[in-house]
Amino acid sequence: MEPVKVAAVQAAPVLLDRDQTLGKVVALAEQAAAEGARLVAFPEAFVPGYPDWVWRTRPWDAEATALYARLFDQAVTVGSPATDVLAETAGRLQIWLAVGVDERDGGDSTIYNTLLHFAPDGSLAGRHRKLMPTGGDWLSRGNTTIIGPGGILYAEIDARQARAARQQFDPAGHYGRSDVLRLAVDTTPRSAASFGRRDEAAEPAPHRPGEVD
Amino acid sequence: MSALRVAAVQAAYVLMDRDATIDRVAELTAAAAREGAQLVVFPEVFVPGTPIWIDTQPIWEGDEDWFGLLAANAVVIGSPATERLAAIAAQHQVWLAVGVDEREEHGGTIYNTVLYFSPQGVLAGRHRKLVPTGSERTVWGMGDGSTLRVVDTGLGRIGGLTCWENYMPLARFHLYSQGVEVWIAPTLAVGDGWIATMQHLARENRMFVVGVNPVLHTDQIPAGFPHRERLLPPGFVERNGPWLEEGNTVVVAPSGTVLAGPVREREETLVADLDLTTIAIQRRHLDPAGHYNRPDVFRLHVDTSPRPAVVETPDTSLTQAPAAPPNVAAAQNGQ
Repeated sequence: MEPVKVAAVQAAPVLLDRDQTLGKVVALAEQAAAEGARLVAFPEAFVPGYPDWVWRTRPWDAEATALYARLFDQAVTVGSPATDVLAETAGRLQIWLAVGVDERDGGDSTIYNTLLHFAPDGSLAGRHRKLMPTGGDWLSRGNTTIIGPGGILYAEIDARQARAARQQFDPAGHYGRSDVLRLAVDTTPRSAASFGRRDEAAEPAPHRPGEVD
Repeated sequence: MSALRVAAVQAAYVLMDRDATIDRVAELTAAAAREGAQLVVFPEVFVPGTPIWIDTQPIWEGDEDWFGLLAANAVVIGSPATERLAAIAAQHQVWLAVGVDEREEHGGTIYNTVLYFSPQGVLAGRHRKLVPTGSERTVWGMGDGSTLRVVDTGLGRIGGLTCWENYMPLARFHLYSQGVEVWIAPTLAVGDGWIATMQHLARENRMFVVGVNPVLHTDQIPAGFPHRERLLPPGFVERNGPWLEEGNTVVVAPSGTVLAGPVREREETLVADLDLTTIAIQRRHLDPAGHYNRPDVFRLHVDTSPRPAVVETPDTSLTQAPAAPPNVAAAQNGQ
């Protein structure tokens, strides 16, 4: 594995404007790719921006509700033209592209703080919904006010160095104590409802403690 | 304000001399108590010190006499050494946390252990380090899950992990779930990276953190130490400086703000007043074992049972009365 150049983009979104913000993502990714970056990372909830008002308004005031409606309208649905643009950009530039979005499901009204990972082959290779919003985050769903001009930080990263460093310390390996401390993770997808005939498996995905215990 | 006054003692041990080092514990604890300290914390394996040869020499090369000294000066729980430490805590009416090289009475393995003594002179807690680091694995064994308990002092809940154990997230989480308020991190770790770790832990669990290091200057190696001339290879001091342990003692607030230290390259006791009422207020932001956890997704299983190497099952077939037939037993139980 060769060293790889990564780009961390600190930039301002066009607040609550999904398409214009996507335009900035594409332009900045092109700039970073031209500099040789193979992984380009954007901030939390970059598209269409962080609902900064949750920290400065009273929850559920009319003003905040109007802003929420706007955020909802501009949120990103996976599988929509918005994610197609991001996937196409990753494929065209042959980069890994990580972008934080305000995500909503096609069918519901809840917004998630989600990080999307697009691969150089133009596929959506990973998606992470933040597990626990912080404080005021709760009020919209899920700190990205850039003071002054944005910019792109570049770094040359050699994963071999990380592996070599783990000779000293490997918390999930030789410096773990799985005989004493064991983490069980329930990776079952959880939907609020499931539909089917009574004589078929209409139950939500069963919780199988035996598998995670 | 319910403040706890803590003293973090950065001092030099008397290398591989248990009794002389306990003399130092007595004198430094007395000084801290005079300043009003209610909790006095000493560094990792302070009694009788760090087996420094593991980092100055290739492993097991000419270290026989040094390891022999370590074994002979290790601290056995329930021996006169721990009785002296308990008496020091009682005499000065303080909680005393002190790192020791521990061994079982008839054991050949040394453990890296922190002992907690109450102002009543009782050994109230004990933690054996779970995983020694690098070259430490050539001198220390591993603790089991039975010594991962937070101690309720009545002044605050104290507990912690030793040195790089602090980088074990599952062990941290286990102690966080017990409501630890003052985190004790005896360590040998030096440099700014370690201070960042202490600040990270404080912010992670919104608690006070007391990181305590020893110091040892090359001049403090006892004159009569065996093979003293071999202990430091040629060029060692030129490359590494004269401090074998340079110190890094620090006290951090739940916000991550450094309250005292870090102090380096000298002996010094840091004294700080910890206002424990701020912890609950800070945890409204972040409570990693409470509202900022997702127990539906993550669940930690901890085996806290002591793990002795041998469990004996005595053969009682010759001495026990024969068991009553099952029907008789059931009748007697009214079933």
